[in-house]
Amino acid sequence: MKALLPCLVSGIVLAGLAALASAMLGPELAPSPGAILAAFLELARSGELFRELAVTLARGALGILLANAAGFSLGLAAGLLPGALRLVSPLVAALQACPPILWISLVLVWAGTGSVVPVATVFAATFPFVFSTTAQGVLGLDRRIFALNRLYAVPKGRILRLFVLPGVFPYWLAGLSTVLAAGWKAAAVAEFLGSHQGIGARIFWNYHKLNMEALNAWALALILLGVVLEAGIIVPLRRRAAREGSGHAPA
Amino acid sequence: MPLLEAAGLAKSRGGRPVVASASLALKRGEILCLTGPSGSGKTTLLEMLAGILPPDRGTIRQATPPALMFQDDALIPWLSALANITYILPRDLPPSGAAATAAQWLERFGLEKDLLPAALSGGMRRRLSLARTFASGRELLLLDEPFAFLDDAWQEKVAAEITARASAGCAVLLATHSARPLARAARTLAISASPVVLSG
Repeated sequence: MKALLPCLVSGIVLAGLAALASAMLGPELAPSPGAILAAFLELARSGELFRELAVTLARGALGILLANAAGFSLGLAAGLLPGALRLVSPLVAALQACPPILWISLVLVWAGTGSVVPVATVFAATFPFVFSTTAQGVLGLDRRIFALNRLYAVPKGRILRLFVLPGVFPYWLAGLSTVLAAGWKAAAVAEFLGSHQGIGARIFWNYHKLNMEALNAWALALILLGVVLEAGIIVPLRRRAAREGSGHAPA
Repeated sequence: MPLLEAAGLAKSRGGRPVVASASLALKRGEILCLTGPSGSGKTTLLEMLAGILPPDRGTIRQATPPALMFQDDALIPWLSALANITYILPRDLPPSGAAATAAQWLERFGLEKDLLPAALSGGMRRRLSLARTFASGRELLLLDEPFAFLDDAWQEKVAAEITARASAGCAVLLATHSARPLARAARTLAISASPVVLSG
């Protein structure tokens, strides 16, 4: 009950704001909290909510998975070759500075609407971060152990398995929580502008038709998805990363 | 024939000369103590002799690959005491053989195999670092401050282990504040000048 209280307070504040907006702007422009909830429950009952949710989550997950595969392996390589890292650092900084709208526009032109836009946008928005945190993790490893490796000719596979990967893991884990938080938001924005499916696309179509009850119901779905991801995955990941970073797990 | 020979070694760090000229030779069965105060260049000299720090000038000839006990232990924090030792053992050693070797050295140095370095005191970490160096099976042993953080009893035991390794044919070079625990067994070279000027 103690853990649910902050959620309850946030829900009451949101409902109060919706009620205030409805009183000020009228129910056509700002539906009442009851009408939003009814529309939300109807989306859930019809199954549409879960279908669109699955689409958004699948796209976000695929983008994040690809960004992690590429960012982790390239970040690892760059961290182990500091000269290479210095060379690509400005490029990574530039990629990190690019707003998602840039990638959405480009991929829309190149690939048209569909799943490619959100997946590519999530990839572009999260790859530089995974790359940087992984490379920084390698640079944070004890340089004396690298000398020890050379001195005793420790096999490369053993170095990677027992030294580099466990040492980089807390950095990657800490980065993953940020990537997850940013990834699903990027997926929803990309769907809003460049897809016919997913929560972002539903928000766009209901905005286009000025169906405010459905628009708010989808917005509520997006907020709930964020809360569930934050409480169920992101916060536990951050806690685990903090634990791993302060006292490493045994081999 | 010496296991280690160095001539005219020189090294500057941060623009400051640390070793001006160091020459030494170390034969099989010999124990050589380099003594001197903190910051006198002992560690720099040892790292050059181990081959992990290139000298600015001079030559080093190792007849056999060295083992180095680092001044600040250089233990991997997330590996157990046992795994910290097996980590450096040769790849041709089967895993069971590596574990048995490591366990034997841990026992000799009074350590439990499952403990992580963070759970060890300064003296225990020093003993683990020593155990790892001896477990490497190498014949040229370079030990940086092996007696630091050890109580008198462990200093005596470590000195006995060093003497035993030398008797078994190893060459041992130590950098230490005090060569007292090895006073009878070792040749001593005192570093009194900075940068280091050494011949022995």
